[in-house]
Amino acid sequence: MPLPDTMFCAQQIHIPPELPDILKQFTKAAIRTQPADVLQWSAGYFSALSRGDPLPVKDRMEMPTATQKTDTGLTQGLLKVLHKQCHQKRYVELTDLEQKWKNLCLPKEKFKALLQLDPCENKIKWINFLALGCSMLGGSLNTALKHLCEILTDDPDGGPAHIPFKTFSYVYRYLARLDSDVSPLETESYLASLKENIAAKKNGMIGLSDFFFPKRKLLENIENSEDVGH
Amino acid sequence: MTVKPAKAASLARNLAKRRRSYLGGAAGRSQEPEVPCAAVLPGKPGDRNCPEFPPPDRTLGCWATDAAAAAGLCGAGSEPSIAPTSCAGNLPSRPPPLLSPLLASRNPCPWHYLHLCGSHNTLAPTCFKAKLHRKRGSQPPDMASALTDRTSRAPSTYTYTSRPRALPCQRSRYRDSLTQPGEEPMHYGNIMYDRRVIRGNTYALQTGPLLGQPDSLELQRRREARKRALARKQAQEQLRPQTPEAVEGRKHVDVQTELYLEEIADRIIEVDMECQTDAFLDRPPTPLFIPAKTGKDVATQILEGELFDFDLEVKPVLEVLVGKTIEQSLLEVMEEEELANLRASQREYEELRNSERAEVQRLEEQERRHQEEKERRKKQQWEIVHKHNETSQKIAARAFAQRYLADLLPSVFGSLRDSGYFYDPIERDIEIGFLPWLMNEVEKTMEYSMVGRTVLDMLIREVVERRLCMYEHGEDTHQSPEPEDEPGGPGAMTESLEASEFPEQSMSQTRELLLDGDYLQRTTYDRRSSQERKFMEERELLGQDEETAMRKSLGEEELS
Repeated sequence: MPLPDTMFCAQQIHIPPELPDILKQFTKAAIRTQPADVLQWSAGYFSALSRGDPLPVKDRMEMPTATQKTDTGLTQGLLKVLHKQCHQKRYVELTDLEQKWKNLCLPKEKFKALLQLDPCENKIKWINFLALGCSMLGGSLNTALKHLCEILTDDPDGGPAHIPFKTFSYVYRYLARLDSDVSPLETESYLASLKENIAAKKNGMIGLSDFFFPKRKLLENIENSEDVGH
Repeated sequence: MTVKPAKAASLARNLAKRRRSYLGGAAGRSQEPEVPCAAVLPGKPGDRNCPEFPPPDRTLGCWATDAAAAAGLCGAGSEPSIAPTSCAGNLPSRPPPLLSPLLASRNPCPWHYLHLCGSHNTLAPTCFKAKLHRKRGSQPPDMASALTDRTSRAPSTYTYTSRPRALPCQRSRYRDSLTQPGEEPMHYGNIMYDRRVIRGNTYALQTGPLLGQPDSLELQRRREARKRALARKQAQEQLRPQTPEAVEGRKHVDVQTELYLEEIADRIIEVDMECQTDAFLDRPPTPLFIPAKTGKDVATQILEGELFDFDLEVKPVLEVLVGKTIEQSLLEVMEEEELANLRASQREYEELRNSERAEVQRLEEQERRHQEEKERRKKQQWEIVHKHNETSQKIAARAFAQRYLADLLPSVFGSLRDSGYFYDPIERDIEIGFLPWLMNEVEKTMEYSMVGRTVLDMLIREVVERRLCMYEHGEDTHQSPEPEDEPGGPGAMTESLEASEFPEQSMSQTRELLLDGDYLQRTTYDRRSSQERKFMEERELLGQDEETAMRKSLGEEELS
């Protein structure tokens, strides 16, 4: 309803009823995502919203780690956002991806650097990009795969991050191929051993616990409690 | 009185009809006489004190009821008479105009349309007095009496009507009261002592004198009383000073002396005004109260933008909107974050726990297996040790046994040998077979010799005896039987001896034995011993005491 020509009192100001809701969702998304450039990100947000695409919103709030421009600022959460946005299609247009990258206020150089690891022309397989991103996150192959599991999994947060073994092995091979230190033989043997491990247990899914052994926090706790008990 | 009942009835019916029409045109009834209660007596609503005669301007409802009652009563056609109660309650204030034509002919006064001498002659004096309108000359003078007559003549019910009249006051206003006819003395006395007030039940027909034919005595008494009162009054009036009589040829005339002539009339100009509302209309809604306009009208003009500045006005709205939005979203995000964190940590913990539980289970399994293994090993070991022990024990035992039994064998053998279990078969055979035989033979031989000796002794004895006998007898006994026995005996003996394998030894032995003939005891003893030996031998040949037998036989051989 367009504003009447003459308004006489404040009560005549009409606020569209959907507006508060939209604002609230937007604000929450912004708070959760903590973009460096709010404007850029908002443009991305609303354009995605208008198109009906998945929104560039982090599901969980993550304190931003990027301080300088050199630091990639790429976090698992951001990768997850990108994954949410891009994973429907197998191949992603580079331009599109770049735009999304920008919307998340990530530095462009990093994007280029990432692409240089595995050069390609217009399109890139999304899973490859994701793998590259994960490798950027973590130092070792294992940590990269851990991040990948956590990103790709359907399990809820904190739970055993299961992904299909096929995916896992594919990514592992891909990264191993890129990484010159690891020989293919090792890769295969490692994968074979893992496969044996999980063959009996799960239905073709591999979880974090199978290949990644986090620190045993429980022992620490016990020690601490013992100390306290004394 | 003047009108017959029939006519009265017809008139009543007319009136009733008119009344019905009246009901329809109730509005224009202002000048009409009141609704006639057909059976209602002519009576004046005399006494305003009477509560049963409500003020003149009654609503239609009352009329209607009266009309209905009247109509009903009219329809009945019976002698118009009203139930006293109904009449009393519903009597209109105005006396019903029973016979308007009649009355009209008489006098135009609306008040005087009462047909006092109607057929319905029941006059129930429900009021104090029936005061007649005395101003009207047309009134028959004996109205009161007529009234009373009517009262007396009334058959059943009470009715009473009286004309409205001014309240009489006790003091007369005018000196001259001669013009006033002698009125019935009005005794406004106590209702309780009013004779007209009916005592007792009113629902039962009074067959007494009040309704029925009054007692003539009663009537007379009343008349006389009235006359007396009247006379008294007149006497009083005579005493009062009055204006002197007119002079001859003149006449007293009332004259007005004021400036303006005033018509003096008894008649009070009255105008009937009636008003009627629709039957059973709802109360109309009150009209909207629009207060009267007060004050001054002043006009002013507001140009656009003067009154309302959007930016200014929208500011608080925006503040609220944005502020609240941010606040709310922040809160929500925090909450969600907290919840998600909680859940994540919960799941992490569960994961950890699960993995650790798996680990624990694995360890437990392992431990269990180890335990089992240990147990098994231990058992095995124990068995081995046990066996070892056993074996060593066995060995020791065996060694000991061996040592212990080392002597056993020789001793056993020795004892066995001693017992004679190990025997030289030839020797045995000799011992078993030969020697007994030998001994037997020897015995036999000895026995033979014994026998022989015995026989010999017997012979000798016999011979001796015979010789003795013969000696005693003489010498004629015989020598014949002796030589037969002698050869028999030794012959037997020799035969036996020859039968024996070792004849020489046996011969020698027997000879030796024979030679020892002194020893009878010995021979008997030998015999016995030989018999014994025989028995023994027979036994021991088969029995176990071969040894002893052998020993005995040997011993005996040595003895022998």
